[in-house]
Amino acid sequence: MIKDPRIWIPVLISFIIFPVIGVIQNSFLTGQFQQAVEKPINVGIILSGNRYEENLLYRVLNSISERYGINLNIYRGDGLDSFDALVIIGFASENAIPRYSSLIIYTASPQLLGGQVVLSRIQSFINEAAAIALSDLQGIDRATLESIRNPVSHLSVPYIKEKNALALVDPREFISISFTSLTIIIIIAMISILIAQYSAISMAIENEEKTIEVMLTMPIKRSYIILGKLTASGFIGGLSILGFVVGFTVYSKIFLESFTSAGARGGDGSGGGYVIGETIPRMLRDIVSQIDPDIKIYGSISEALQPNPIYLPLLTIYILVAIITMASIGILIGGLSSDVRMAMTLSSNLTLPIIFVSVALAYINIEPGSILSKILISIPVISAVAVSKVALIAQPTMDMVVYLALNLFISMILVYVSGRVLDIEIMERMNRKLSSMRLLRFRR
Amino acid sequence: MDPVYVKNLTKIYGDTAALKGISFNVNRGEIYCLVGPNGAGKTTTFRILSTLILPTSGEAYIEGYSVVDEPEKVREVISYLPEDVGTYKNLTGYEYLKFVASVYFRDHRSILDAIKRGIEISDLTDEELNRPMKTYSKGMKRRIQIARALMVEPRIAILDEPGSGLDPVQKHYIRKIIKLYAKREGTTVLMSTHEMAEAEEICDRVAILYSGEIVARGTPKEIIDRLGESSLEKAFIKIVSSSGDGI
Repeated sequence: MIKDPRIWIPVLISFIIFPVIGVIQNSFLTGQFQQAVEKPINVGIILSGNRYEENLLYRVLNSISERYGINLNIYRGDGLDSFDALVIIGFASENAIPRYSSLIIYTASPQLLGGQVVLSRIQSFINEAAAIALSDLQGIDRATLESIRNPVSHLSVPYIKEKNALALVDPREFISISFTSLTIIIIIAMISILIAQYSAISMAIENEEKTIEVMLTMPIKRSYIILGKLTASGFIGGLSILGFVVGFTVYSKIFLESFTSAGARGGDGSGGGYVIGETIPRMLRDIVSQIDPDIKIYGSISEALQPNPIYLPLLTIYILVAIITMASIGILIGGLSSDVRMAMTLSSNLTLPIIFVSVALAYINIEPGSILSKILISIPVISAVAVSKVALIAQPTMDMVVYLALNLFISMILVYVSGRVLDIEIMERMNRKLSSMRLLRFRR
Repeated sequence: MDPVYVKNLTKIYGDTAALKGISFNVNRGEIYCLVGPNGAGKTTTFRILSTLILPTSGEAYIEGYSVVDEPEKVREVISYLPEDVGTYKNLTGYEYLKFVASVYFRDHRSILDAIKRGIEISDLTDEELNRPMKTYSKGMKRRIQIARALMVEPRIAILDEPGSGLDPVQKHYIRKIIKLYAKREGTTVLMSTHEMAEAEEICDRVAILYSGEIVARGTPKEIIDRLGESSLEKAFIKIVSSSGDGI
């Protein structure tokens, strides 16, 4: 099985697909972001009213333009092509509150990812200059100005309902969980489809190359043949899982690096780390203990997302059952296919429903113990996807073991059925039916 | 009981009767041939005897084991060569022989002996045996399959059209090998052919199968003499033209 290029090429692809995408994305993203962050920007300025306040802002803009890498010039009818952006400055004072306005016309293209970065650089540049100009107009010193610009020191703490815990982590970092869980779901879904295809192909090869008859007359029990096919598909599926996981890790590293390096080069002044120190957790602990003494406080994202130790073996078994289920479905499909092409066509029909359900699952809020959750964890494959999603955040419940048994039962029925299909008469009859169905479709 | 015992065997597919109650038996060490045109029921008989399909009615025993009730026992004593068999094209000839040997034998010595026999029967060179089988000619594929079937020293070899699609030289080689193994190893051979000359040359006894019925049986010489013809082919044509009445 492993020597057949129809099997080993997809396994090889599973190892390299993500890194290749990562490298390609990285080269494009890094190039475009680097250019957007580092390149000097030509900005044309139009002072709409030519008032004193507008001229003051222009002077301040000039004084800080070098720091922002901006070449500033008064627009003299040179046309939009000569600038990366054209800024029309206005000033108004409503109810004695002075305020600047700007209309920025900037060069954008659907093919360029850096347009927003350029715009963001120009906005930051104008904001800082306007704040300085306004403070001069109002006679406010710089320290007060800074206090007005950042009046509140915010600290946000995510509460993980399913774990009854607080996570002292950057909320932006916490958002990455959604991305991670979606990725895990997609990987499990893809692997399930691949396993079905591997076993379908391995059976269809026997039909196509007419080796099945000899195999079925050898002194090997049918159950061993099924077990052999399941094990081989599981092994190859396992290799693919490893390939995707390794590949995805490399991809994430490359992908995040392109953003980090671009961000590091950008330095728009809005950055700032998420430093908590020791006082806040202590203070938070005191406050929280008065609200709910059972609430746990995690200090890092890895600690907050550490799955419950029971979940790991549970999830492993759910995934194993999913592998057995998909491999059995694959054997069924392959056994009924006269050739590999037919097996590929039939097994590809599994892709859409599995991906659809998996992506839907990524966005559904699965409440542990709800009817929806019970239905989802009763169906093999879907259950593996659902359990993988909640494993990072929820506490396992005892009934998950009961549902695992149900999964196993359904899976064993499929194994039995696929074993029954290892019968020349059934396979030939079904082949004829499927072929005649295809012929009918062509005739229409 | 004879190594192969078949009584009133029938097989019906939908409205078509592929076998209409055939009976025959094969003696130990004998080369017994089912001869007849395409569609006569030879392959159906062999598929039943190899436990691939079930008969509609009748009895069939291989070495005393019922093909219906004890298929696993039957598989332990037979080796089946289908007419239209393929090879695992990404395996080399050597890897294939090794795989088959390890299915039939447990101890290392027996496996090596079986592989050695396989290499000898196939008559392929080392270079050929180490090439993926997708590069093999039809003749080479057939030789490796004959080797696969005989190297495990089955008590009963069921060979469906072993010389199918081969040139006269390759056919001659395969007949020679089958004869040699039947004599040397005492293997009982049940084979089919639609070539009367081949049957005349190799078979100890023959059953002529026509439209799912045995219309003549005996040694090739007996059948030829009974019909007063000069060859089995002429005798066969005489039989089928007389609307299949038993002789």
